[in-house]
Amino acid sequence: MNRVAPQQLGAQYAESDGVLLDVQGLTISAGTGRQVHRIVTELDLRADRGEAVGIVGESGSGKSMTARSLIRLLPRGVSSQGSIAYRGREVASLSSHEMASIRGTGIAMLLQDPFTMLNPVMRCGKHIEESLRAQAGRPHTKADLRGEIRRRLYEVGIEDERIADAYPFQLSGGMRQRVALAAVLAGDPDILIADEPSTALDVTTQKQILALIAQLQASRGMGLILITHDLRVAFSMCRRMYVLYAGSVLEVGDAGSIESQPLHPYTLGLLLSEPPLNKRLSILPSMPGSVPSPDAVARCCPFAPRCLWARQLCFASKPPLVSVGPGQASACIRISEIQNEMKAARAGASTSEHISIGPVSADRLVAVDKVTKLFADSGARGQHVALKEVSLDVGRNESVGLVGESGSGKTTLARCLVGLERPTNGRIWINGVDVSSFDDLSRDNLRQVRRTIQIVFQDPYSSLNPVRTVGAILIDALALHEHGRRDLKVAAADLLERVGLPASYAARKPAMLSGGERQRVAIARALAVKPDIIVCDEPVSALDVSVQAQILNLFRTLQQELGISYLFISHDLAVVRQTVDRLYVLYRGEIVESGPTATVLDQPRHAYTRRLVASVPRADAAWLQS
Amino acid sequence: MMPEATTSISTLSARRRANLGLSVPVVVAAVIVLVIAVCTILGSLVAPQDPAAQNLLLSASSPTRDHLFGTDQLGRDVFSRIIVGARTAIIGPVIIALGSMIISNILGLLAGYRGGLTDSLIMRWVDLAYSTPGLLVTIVISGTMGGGYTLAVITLMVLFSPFDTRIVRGVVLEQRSLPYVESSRTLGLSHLRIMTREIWPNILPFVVANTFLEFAYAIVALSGLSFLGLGVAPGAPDWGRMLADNEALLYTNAASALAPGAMIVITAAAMNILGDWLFERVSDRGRVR
Repeated sequence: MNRVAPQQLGAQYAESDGVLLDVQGLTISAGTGRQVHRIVTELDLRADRGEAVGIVGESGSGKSMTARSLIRLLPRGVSSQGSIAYRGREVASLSSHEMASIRGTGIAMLLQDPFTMLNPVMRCGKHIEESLRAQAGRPHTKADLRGEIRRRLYEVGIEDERIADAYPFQLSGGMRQRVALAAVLAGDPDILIADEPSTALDVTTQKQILALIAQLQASRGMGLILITHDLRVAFSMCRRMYVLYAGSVLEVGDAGSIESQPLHPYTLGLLLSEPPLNKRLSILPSMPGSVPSPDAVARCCPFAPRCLWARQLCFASKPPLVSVGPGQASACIRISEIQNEMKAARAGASTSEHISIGPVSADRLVAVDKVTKLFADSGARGQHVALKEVSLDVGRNESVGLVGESGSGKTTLARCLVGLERPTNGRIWINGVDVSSFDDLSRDNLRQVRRTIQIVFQDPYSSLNPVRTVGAILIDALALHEHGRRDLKVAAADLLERVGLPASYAARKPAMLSGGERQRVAIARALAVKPDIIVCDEPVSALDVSVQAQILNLFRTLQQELGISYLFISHDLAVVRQTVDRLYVLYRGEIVESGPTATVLDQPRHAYTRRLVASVPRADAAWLQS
Repeated sequence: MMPEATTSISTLSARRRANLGLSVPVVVAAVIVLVIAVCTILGSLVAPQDPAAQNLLLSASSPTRDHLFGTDQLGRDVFSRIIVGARTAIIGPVIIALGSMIISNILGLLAGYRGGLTDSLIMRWVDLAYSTPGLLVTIVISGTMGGGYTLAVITLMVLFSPFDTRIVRGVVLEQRSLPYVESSRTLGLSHLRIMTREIWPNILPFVVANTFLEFAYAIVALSGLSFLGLGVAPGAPDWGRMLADNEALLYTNAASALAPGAMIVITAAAMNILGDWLFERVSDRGRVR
């Protein structure tokens, strides 16, 4: 068999313009026959040699499918049309052998999840070796190979050469992502597609990985297509970016100009939805509704149903992407009319005043006193300390934040509070009742505790019973604590209205709701027993940015109207800044810092808090270097 | 990333209507089961001849227009006996499958949801059942206690349930740690309610599919017992029994021996196909796409 080196593939084409990847009119659809669903519509994309390009979009925008189509790795049942030219050669026309030789050495792809991307039974060095073998003219002797693997690991910041002999499951998430990156780069690709490379990682690790990718991209002169949902990450990493929404590009431009002057209402909305870290806003700007399916908005401006500035015209036909300035194009037909209004909206939003902290009563709703939680360890060490003498309290009508990375023990504490785990040591009081052991509570005490504290979980997709209707879920919860009240249906409708959903949603099943709507139902269910405090375990981290702000505003409204307290658990400092009065920082099972939110975030004292604050993405390249 | 679950109701129900998944095998299986069900319910009303009427002059005759599957040694019409025999062949396995389902659901939910000592006790019993040769035990029990249809059905039901219990426990364990169950616990719903109203509907697809499979096993097992003379009383029309009685006629009237065997196989296969189809349909609801 005669393998063609990718370098020769485009030899007959002029490469003077430096365009590596040129995509024209890419349309991706799933299904066959009558049941075809659009995923991406008429997308144009260009990536030059050595250029970093960002594709930004929320879930359902089609960004991952776009990336996969570039290397012809679409899942079964998903097909693409349009032209994808890599170095002037049509990707669709290549044989599968030619395509295989381009993957890895021409175009390489780094995936989101470092936990599944590496083969768990293959040593780390082997992953790199496999990629090295794909190239011609690579070292053959064992010693050469070993040296090369070491060099490759060193390139991604792994100096310990024993890592090459370790299995992926022995490494942390960040380490695995480094190994994956080394394996992906072992083919010396011209262009790297990184699909949410840092999303599954902790904030502090995220920054390191992003900085590493940026540094390697620059030093290798490699092209980069970064796919992310986080505008700030894209701004800090990319020169040019594409804003994708419901399968269509809504705006293209230089990162700088998009950041300073977005020329599409959706981009503006995204920018505004991103909560600021440095101040607390009275109301977070949010976009109404949620991301539609591309089919639902096929014949109009995809953003029109959620757009403040939408007119009849916007619904009439799908607006094309039109150049609106040097290097910037927008798919908004009214952009010239509304540009000034958009500027004003942005200026207005960022100056909206602080909220004053209401009077907090001395009455302690939740008191945690030196709680320790040990888990039996699967390894030889015996026990793993999840929480170490943690003390914390939440007052009535107060919202308290608990921040920390994965593994810090924050979820364990939440589970101890609602009786899903039992602390090994220490005491927990809820509204004066000692709940250190839920099993030993009397029936009356248990009832009182359940009415005092409720929990909202992170994942709205699994926290609602999929086979029951929203109404039935709420009525069950209501029936528990409203004996004798017959009009439970009315009460359920009231609850839905309180969380901003139409009463007709009672008849729906969770699968018919979007992520944000499900989280509203989960909140309504927690409210059904009229609790004094709700434990929110990462309640917005599974949601899109545009929806996140809506939910955060809902939490705030509920607090003002019902006087509810929150224990708000999050890894996202900007989110915490917007919601809580007081903050605890949890690091490896210990509280390392606590105090008023503004004080902790603006003048962090503990080294870990400082690192955490510095890791929050900022919309400039300097963030990665800091 | 695939489009988020913002699918509106209209497209969802349209897809469901367009996609009932009715393939040819499913339709054929459904027709077969329907026909057998009619025979089970109506019995001798739909049989062309009296299944017990003997005609020794016409014993072991090959299929004719009057006797579609010929006659047996005593000159009884095999076709009619098959129709009437559906009753014992079907009702027993239905009772076994349903009974075993009820036992296994209760035990499986308890073991999976409660855990701890309850789980250990139930699972030790399951292990015991796994380590004993089931059919052999049935034969011994039926043999020592004098056999009989009812005894065979009860024994098989008890012997089948541990296998189902293990399956139910497995799927319950998977559900128990999901946030929707945990939030029901924090709300203060009773354990019984969580098991029956929250978890059970979610494991229903497995339960249904498993019951159909169990029926297919049961029909084979019960016919086997009848074949060995431990099931229905001698002389009663029953597929397993007929298989044993007419075995000797394989060279004179092959149809009389093959037809009951074929019925057992066809019924088991048809129920299997329907079970699979139903599983696909039931497990589809509520799934996020």
